[in-house]
Amino acid sequence: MKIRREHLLIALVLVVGIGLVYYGMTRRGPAATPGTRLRITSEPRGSEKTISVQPLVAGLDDIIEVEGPLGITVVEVDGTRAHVVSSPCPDKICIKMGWLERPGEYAACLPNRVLAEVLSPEEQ
Amino acid sequence: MRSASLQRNVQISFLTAVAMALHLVESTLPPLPVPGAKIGLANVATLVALKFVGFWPAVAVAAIRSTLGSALAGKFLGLGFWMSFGGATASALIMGLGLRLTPRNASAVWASLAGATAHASVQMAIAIRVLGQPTLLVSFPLLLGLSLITGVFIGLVCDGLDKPLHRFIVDRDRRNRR
Repeated sequence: MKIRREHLLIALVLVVGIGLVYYGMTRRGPAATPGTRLRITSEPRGSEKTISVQPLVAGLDDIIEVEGPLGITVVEVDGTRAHVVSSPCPDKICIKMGWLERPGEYAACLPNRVLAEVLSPEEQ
Repeated sequence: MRSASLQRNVQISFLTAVAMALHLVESTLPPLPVPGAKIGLANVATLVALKFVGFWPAVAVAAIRSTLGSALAGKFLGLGFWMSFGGATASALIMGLGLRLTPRNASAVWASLAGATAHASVQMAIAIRVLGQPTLLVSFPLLLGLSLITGVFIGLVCDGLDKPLHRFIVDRDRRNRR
C-alpha cells in the first residue's frame, strides 16, 4: 500500500492521543502533606446535597457510609489514603478507580451521585 | 411497501443487529485500563450506515442500538442509558457532518475522530451535569486521548470494510434497480 500524506496525519493524531493518555495517566497531584483531607459529596434521598470532610492522617482508619439514590456507598479510609469499597451501582467504576491519596484524585459514582475527592490543605 | 423503503428498513435492521453483536463482542474483551472507557466497536456499524445507507438511517442505528443495549442490560432510562444514548446519537450526528465535510475519497478516520470527540464531550457533560461537580474535568485529557486512539482504530476498520461492503451493498442496489 502506498503511504499517502493522509496516513501521516492519522499517525500524528495517534501520537497526540497517546500523548494525552500518557499525560492523563502519569499526571499526579502534589504529594500529600499534613492537612490533606477527603471530601465526600452525596445526595441522600429526600434531602439536600451532603458534604463530609475527613482528614487523611496516618494511623487514622475509618469506614464512611454515605447514602445516594440507589443505596449506601461505603468508603474506607486507611490512614493517608481512601477508596470506595462497596457501591450499589451497576458498573462499579467508583470501586475500580482505586486508591485516592494525592490532592486532585477522585472516585466518582454517577448512578449513586457520590464523589469522593482528595483536597489539598489550601482547598476549602 | 415500496421496495426501496423495504430495502432501507432491512439495511437498518441488519446494521443494528451487527451493532448489537459488536457491542456483545466488546463486552467479552478485557476492559481498557481506564475505568468506564470503551473501544466503541459498535460505532463501526454507525459509520458504515452513514457511508452506505444515509444520514438519518445511521442516526436510527445508533439510537436503536443504544436503547436496545441498555434495555437488554436492564438499565433502560437509567443514567447508563442516557450516557450511552446521548453519546451514540451525538457521535452519529457529528460523524455524518464530518463525512460531508471531508472529500469523498478521504479516509473515514476523520469522521470517526469527530464522532469520538463528540462522544467523549457529551458523556463528560452529562457526568458533570449529574454530579454538579466541574472537578471531573481533570480526567478529560485522558478520556479525549483514549477517544482519539479508539477513533483512529474504528475509522481504519471502516476503511478496510470499504471495498467488501461496496460489493455487498452498493452493487446489489444497482442490480435491483435494473
